[in-house]
Amino acid sequence: MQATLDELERAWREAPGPDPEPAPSETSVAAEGETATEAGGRSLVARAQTVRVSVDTLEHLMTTVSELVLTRNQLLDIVRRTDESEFKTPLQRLSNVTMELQEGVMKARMQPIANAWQKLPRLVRELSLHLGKKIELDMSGGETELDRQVLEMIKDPLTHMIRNAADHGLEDPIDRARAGKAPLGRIALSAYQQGGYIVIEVHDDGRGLDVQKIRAKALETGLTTLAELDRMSDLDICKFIFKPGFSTASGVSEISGRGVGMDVVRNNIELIGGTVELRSTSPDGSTFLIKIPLTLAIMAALIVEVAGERFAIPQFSVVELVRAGEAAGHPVEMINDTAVLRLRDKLLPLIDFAQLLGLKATSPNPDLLRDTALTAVVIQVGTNLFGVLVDKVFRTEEIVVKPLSSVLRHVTMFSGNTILGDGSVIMIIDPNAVGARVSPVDAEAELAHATVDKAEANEARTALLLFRAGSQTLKAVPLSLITRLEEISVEAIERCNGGDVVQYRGALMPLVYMQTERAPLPKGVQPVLVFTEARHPAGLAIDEIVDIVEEPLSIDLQADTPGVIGAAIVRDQAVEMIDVSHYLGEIFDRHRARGPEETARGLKLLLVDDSQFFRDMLAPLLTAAGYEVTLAASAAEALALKDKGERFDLIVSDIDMPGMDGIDMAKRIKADTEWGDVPMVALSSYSNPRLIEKCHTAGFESYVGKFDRHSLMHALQECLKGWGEAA
Amino acid sequence: MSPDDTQEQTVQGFVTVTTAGQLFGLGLDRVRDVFVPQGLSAVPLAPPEVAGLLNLRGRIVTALDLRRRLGLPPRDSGKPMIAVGIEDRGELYGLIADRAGDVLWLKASSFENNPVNLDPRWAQVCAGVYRLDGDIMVVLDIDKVLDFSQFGAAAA
Amino acid sequence: MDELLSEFLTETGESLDQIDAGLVRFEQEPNDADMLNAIFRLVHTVKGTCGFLGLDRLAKLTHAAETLMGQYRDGASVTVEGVSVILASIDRIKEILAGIERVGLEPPGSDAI
Repeated sequence: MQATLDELERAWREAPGPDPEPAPSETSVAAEGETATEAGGRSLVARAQTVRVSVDTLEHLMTTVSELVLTRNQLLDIVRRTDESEFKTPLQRLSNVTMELQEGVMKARMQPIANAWQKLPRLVRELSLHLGKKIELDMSGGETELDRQVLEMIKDPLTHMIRNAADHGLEDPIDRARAGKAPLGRIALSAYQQGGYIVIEVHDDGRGLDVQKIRAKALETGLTTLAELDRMSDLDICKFIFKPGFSTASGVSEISGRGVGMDVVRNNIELIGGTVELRSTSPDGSTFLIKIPLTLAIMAALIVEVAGERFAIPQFSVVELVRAGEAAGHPVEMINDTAVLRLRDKLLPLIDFAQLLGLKATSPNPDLLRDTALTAVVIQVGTNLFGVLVDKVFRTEEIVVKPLSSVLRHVTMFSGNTILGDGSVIMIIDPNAVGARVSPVDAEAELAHATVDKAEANEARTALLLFRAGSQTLKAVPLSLITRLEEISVEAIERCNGGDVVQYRGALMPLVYMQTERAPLPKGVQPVLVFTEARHPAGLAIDEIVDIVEEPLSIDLQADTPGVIGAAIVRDQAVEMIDVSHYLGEIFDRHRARGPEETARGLKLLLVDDSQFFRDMLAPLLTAAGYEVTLAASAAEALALKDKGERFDLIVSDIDMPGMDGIDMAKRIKADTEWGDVPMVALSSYSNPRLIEKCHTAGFESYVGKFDRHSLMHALQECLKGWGEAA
Repeated sequence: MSPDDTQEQTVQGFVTVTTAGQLFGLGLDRVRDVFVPQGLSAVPLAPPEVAGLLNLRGRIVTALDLRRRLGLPPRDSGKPMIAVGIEDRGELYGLIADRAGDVLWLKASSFENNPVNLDPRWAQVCAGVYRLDGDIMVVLDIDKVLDFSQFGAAAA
Repeated sequence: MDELLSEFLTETGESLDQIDAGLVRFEQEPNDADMLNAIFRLVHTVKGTCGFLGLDRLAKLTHAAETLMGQYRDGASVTVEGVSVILASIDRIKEILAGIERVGLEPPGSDAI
C-alpha cells in the first residue's frame, strides 16, 4: 500500500516538469476503460437521452414564454368582455398550449435535489476525519426536483447545517458509548415534495441542542428575560438559535463556529421564500425542517391595492384575510403608537402598508383605523405573524417574477416585479423585509405587557407549572407563586416528629407530600416545589414536573375537593389547579402568627377583581393575614359599595377589568370626599413601566404582580405605615 | 462602434430631446427606441429619479426622469412626455424627457467641452456641448446618467 | 474562451463531483467493483480529454490518480490515506480547472505536496 502512495506522490512531484514522461500505456488503460463501460448496474452516470443546454438559453426561453403568457392573458381579457366571440374556442386552445409550454420550460429548469447534495458525502468524510467521529450520511429523496435557481440557493445553508450536525450535534465516540449509542453517528437528509414546496429534513442522532447554553446566551445577549425563559419550553428556547447574531459556539471551532450561525442559514432560506424550523431536539438527536418553494420564477400572489397602487404579495406567506374595523368586529387598537388587531385571543401587530411604503406621510390615525373598514392581510414569516393593512384585495394570480432593475435593488421592501394580465407593472412585496419592520421581539414584549381589550382581560396569560403527584391527573400551580423548583436527594430528607424536613440554604425546610399517604423513600431525587412565606420556605414534594405553559386561565371552581381550587383546561387536557395553602397553610400559619402581618388585625380591606380565581386565591390569604376582606367583582360593584356608605382601610384592585378598569376606578375614588384618602394597591398580571406610571398617576400607592403574594403583603404593610403616619 | 473610425471622428449621430427648454443629445448607438411612456406605475421608496415602471412589449422598463436627474423643476402633471429607450447590461431603461426632436448628425468641429461654469450636477452627466444654429445641444453621457450611486443627490 | 474548452470545463466539473461522491462510497464498500470501475472510467475520460486539449498538468494528475486506482483494482487494500490522496488530487484538478476558467489557460505551477 505504502508503495502506491509513494507512487502517486512521485507522480505529483513530476507533474509540473516540462513533460518528462510520455503518455504511459495509453492503450492498456483504454482497454480497461472499455471493460469499465460494461459494468452496467450501478453506473454513476445516468445514460438517459440528454442534450446540454446553456442556462442563458433556458432563461431566454423562460422570458419568451412569460411574454407569451402575458399576451394570452391580454387576449383572454379582451374576449371576456364580449359575450359571443368566434375567438373563444381557438383562444382556449391557445391558452392550454401556452400553459403546457410554460410547464415544459419550467420543467426544463428543474433539477434533482441530489445535485445540491453531491458534495456532501465528501464533506462528511472530511468532517469525520477531522473531528475524529465516525459519521454515516444517509440521503433519501434525492430525485425530488426543484428549480435550478432554488437549488443553487439551498446549497450553502444545507452545507452549513450538515457541518453543524457533525460538529455540534454528534458526540465523539467516547460520549456516544457513554450515552449508550452506537459508535457510528448518523446524519440523515431526506427530501420530498409537498404541494408547491420541497421539504428537506436534516436529522442527526447526536446529543441535541444544549438548552442551558442557549438559555444563558439568550439572556446574555438580551434577547429575552429570565421570566420569559421560565415560561418557555425547551424547544422554544432552542429556537433562539435562529435569532440574528446568535451563535452558541463559545470557542471558534474550525468546522462551524465562525460566527456564521443558524440565523444566517435562516436568512438565506427566507430569501427564497422558504422557512427553516427546529422540529425536535433531545439527547437522542435533533431534527430540522427546511421548506422551500419549487420555483421562484412563477408564483401565486395575492394582488392588493394600497393608496391607489397595486402590489403583489406572495401567496405562500399569506395566512388569511381579516376584515379590520369596528363594523367587522375586529377593531383596530393602539398600543403606544403600534396598531394591533385582536384575532382569536391573540394580538396581531398591524403594519399600515401605505405608511410603510411612504405613500402617506402621517402616522396611522387611530380614529381613522378604528372606523374605516380595512383589510388586514395576515402574513407569516417564520414564527413571526403580522397583519398588513391594505385598502382592497383583488384575486390571487399566477405571476411571472421578474428581477428588479439594479437601480431598485436597494429598495429592500420588494423582491421583484411582474406584469399583470392587464399589462400593468406592479411590485412584488418581500414578506421578509416587511416582517423585519415588525421587530418581533419588541412586538411580543409589547403585547405581553399590554393592557388592551378590557372586555377580555380574563384572557391574560398565566404561566402555570404542570406536574403530577399521586395520580395521573395533571396538576397546576401558578408559576409565580413558586420560589424555586428543586430536586432534593432522597438521602438528604430527614424525618422528625412533625414530618419530613430537609437542609435547605442553611435552614431546615419542612416538606409536605401531596400524596395522601406519605411517599416511601426510594433512592434518587425528589422533585420539590419551594414556596416562601414571610421568608420561610416550605417544600411541596411531588412526583414529577411535566411542563411550564403559558395559557389564558379559565377555571371551573369546585369547592368540594380539598386542596383543589378548580379544574382548568390546559392544552386540551383537564388540569387540577391546586390550592397551595391547603397543603402548606399550617406551616405558614406558624410563621405568620409571629410575622409582621399581625398589625393587620381587624383592618377592612376591599378586594376588587373580576376574576373569581384570583378573588378565591387572594381572599383566604388576606384573611389569614388578619384583614377583614370584602370582595367586589367589578369597579362598578366597588363604587356601589362606596355609594352605600361602606368604609375601608385599604383597597386592593385589579387593573384589567371589563367595563371600568382599575385605573379609571382609582381616579373616581381619589376624587371622592369619603374614599379619597384610602390607600390603594394595584394588582396586575403584567408589569411594564408605562403601566406602573399610569397606576401611580391614577392614585395607586403601589403596584404588585398578581401572584406575588410576598410583595402584596409588603405593599399593604407600607400603605398602612404611610397611612398611619399621615393620620 | 462604427466600423469606420475616421468617419466617426467627423460625424456622429444623436437622438435629441428637449427637457425644460434645453436640447439634449444622446448617442445614437446607445438608443434602442423612442416611445411614449404609458401605464407608468410608481415604485414606492425608490430614488426620486425613478419615475416608475412600465411594460414595453412584455418587458419591464425602468423609467428615469431626466428632470429629476438634472435637478430641474418637476414637469407639470398632464404635460406630454416621451421616453428614450436604453438597454444597459441586459436591463431596459426609459429616460423621460418633454419632447422628442430630430436625429442630428453632427461634425466634431462644432463640439466643445463642458463650459467650466456648468452646474456641477449637469457636469456630472454631460459629455460636452455642440454649437448648433442658434442653439446649443448638451451631450448626455449615458453611462453617467445611469450611475445609480449618484441617485438621490440631485434631489438634495 | 472557445466552446470546446468551455464544454470540457462543465463536463469535467460534473465528472469530478461524481468521482468525489463515488470515491467516498467506494471507501465504505471497497468490494464494490462496479463502483470502482465507474470511477475509473470517469477518471480515464477526464485524463483523455485533458491530454487531447494539451492540458499537461491535468493529464499528469489524473494519470496519477488513475494509477493508484488501478492498484485498487488489482487488489490493493483500500485505506483512508489512499483515498484521501486521490481526493486531494481531485481537489487540485478542480483548482486548475477554476484557473483555466478564469484565464482560459492552464495555470503554471507545481502539484507536489
